[in-house]
Amino acid sequence: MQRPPRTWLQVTPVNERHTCADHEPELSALLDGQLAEPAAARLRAHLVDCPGCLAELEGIRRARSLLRSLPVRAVPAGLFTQSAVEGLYVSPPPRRIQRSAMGLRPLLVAMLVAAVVVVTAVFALGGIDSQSALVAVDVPRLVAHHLDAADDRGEVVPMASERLVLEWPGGPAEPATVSRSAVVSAPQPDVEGPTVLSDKYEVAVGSTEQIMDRRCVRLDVRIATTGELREQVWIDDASGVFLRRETYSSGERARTVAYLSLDLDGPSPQATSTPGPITVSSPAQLGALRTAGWSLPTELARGYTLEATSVHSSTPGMPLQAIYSDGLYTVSLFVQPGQPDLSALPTDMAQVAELTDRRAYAMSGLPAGIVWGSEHHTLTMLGDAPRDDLLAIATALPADRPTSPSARFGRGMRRVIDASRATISATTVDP
Amino acid sequence: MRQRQDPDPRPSWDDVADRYGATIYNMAYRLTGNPDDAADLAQDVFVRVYRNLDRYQPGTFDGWLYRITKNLFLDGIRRSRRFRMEPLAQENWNEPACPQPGPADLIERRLLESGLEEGLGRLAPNFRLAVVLCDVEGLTYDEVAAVTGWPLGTVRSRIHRGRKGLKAYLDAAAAEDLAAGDARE
Repeated sequence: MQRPPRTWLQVTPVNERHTCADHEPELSALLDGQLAEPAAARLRAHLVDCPGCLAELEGIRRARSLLRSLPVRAVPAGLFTQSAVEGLYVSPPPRRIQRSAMGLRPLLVAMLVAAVVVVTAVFALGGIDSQSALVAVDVPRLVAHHLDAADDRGEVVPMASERLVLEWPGGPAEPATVSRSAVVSAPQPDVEGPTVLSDKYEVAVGSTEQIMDRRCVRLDVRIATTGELREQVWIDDASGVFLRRETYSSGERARTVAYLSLDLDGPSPQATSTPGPITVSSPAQLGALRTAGWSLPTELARGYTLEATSVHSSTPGMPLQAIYSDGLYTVSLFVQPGQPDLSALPTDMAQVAELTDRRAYAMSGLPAGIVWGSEHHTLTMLGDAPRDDLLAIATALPADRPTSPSARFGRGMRRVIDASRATISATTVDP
Repeated sequence: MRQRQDPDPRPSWDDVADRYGATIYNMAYRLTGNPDDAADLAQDVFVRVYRNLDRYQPGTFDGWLYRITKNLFLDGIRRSRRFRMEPLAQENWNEPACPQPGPADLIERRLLESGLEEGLGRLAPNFRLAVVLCDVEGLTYDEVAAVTGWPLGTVRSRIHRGRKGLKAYLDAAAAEDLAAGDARE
């Protein structure tokens, strides 16, 4: 139902090629006045002759106007109050405090300036270099290194594919699955008996059960000294694969990992992804590392002992990984020179309330991790160990911790800052 | 276009909460499509903003805010892609011999009050981001380009494809309603 073509539209063959398909992507720009004039005129002319494009334009105009009229959602009460984001809240470092003092009442300014001077003095006495470089903690990459290293320790069970489910407190609202294909390795228990476990654990062989029509044995792993249940593992009879694993921390079930499907009989794939340039060195090389200025404990709290160190020399900023195990869990300790750049941390890492002596940040999930600064270094601990183990290990490791006068001082500062915030909000309410 | 005001060069926590809380939350809501994820994303933005307040160079505070929101939103999308999280049907959970109570039933996602919100949620993240910035937040094409770092041509095309996707969704929903009406007769 097109009108007779206008002669000026047919001046050159080039214009004949301007079809609906050419014009269609320009419709939004035309609506928004963002189409330059020669093209806009051409499109307007086309619209006169083309009911299809005109209808499309109207539809897009309608979508745009609906979008513009979407109701404004009310902010849930308390979403941005300090208490609501307490776990996420980062105390600003001293330098920041000094800057935020600008524009406050003179008395407060004087107090804060004095405060900053004292903080600086305390830091200088403590030998803490406030100028030391900030390093980004690339958590996803560290996680990948940790998992690769953990995999390397296990014996290989070829699997065509697997599909397992993870569940942990504070994890996804609904249980979620993680599918991986072409998996070539998985931890394998010692089929002769639980001799690989350290003295830390007592293992009782439980009943024979069935998962996915596979015969499996349940093991109950308890902490030897207390008898506390730590882990229940269902082990596939035929392959030794852990079909299901439940981890307990402080008496609560903290984590469940279970296979949804498992193909042990299909053609086993070759390794499809080559892990990063990891050099796992023997503990014997620890001396060389120490000489080079690295300080690594051979033991961590809760009976974790050094198994290997791994040097990521080709990756700037993440040079050293120490791998510890208590026979059941694996913990990696990454040491980077410099202070953690808190602004670059993933925002889902929350400040660890239990570690009151330092500013540490944790992520939950698998593996769980904790990041903190210690004497010119950034320590990142990643592991599948239960949270109570991780916290105990972190507590025993060095950290930049305030000496007691400055700790008191820090609390005082906190109050001053809170008071200044209250002042600011009071003046904001009353313009 | 939504009214925006020039903030102090370096606002405090409360300033940000008071002046930008609603903007942050609403943008987060439009990007994520549900209150829970919106609250999470908005709080993430808020924390990121606060952590970096001392580095903020006086300029367009809004643009900075949008950039942070965009980055965290796309980071979240990338993260969820990397782990390929999928909802798990209850019957798939392989319980050991003595069956324990399974995970809570998957809650039927309630229908949003308007098909538009659902349609918005179905757009690819980049198209969603484009129309949220342009049409919901009222940014110009140039501002969208500045916030996202996309070339202007990409901005133009993504805004258009986002709107087109919404239109297609609304058309399909309308056709479905019509068909349902016919079937009842």
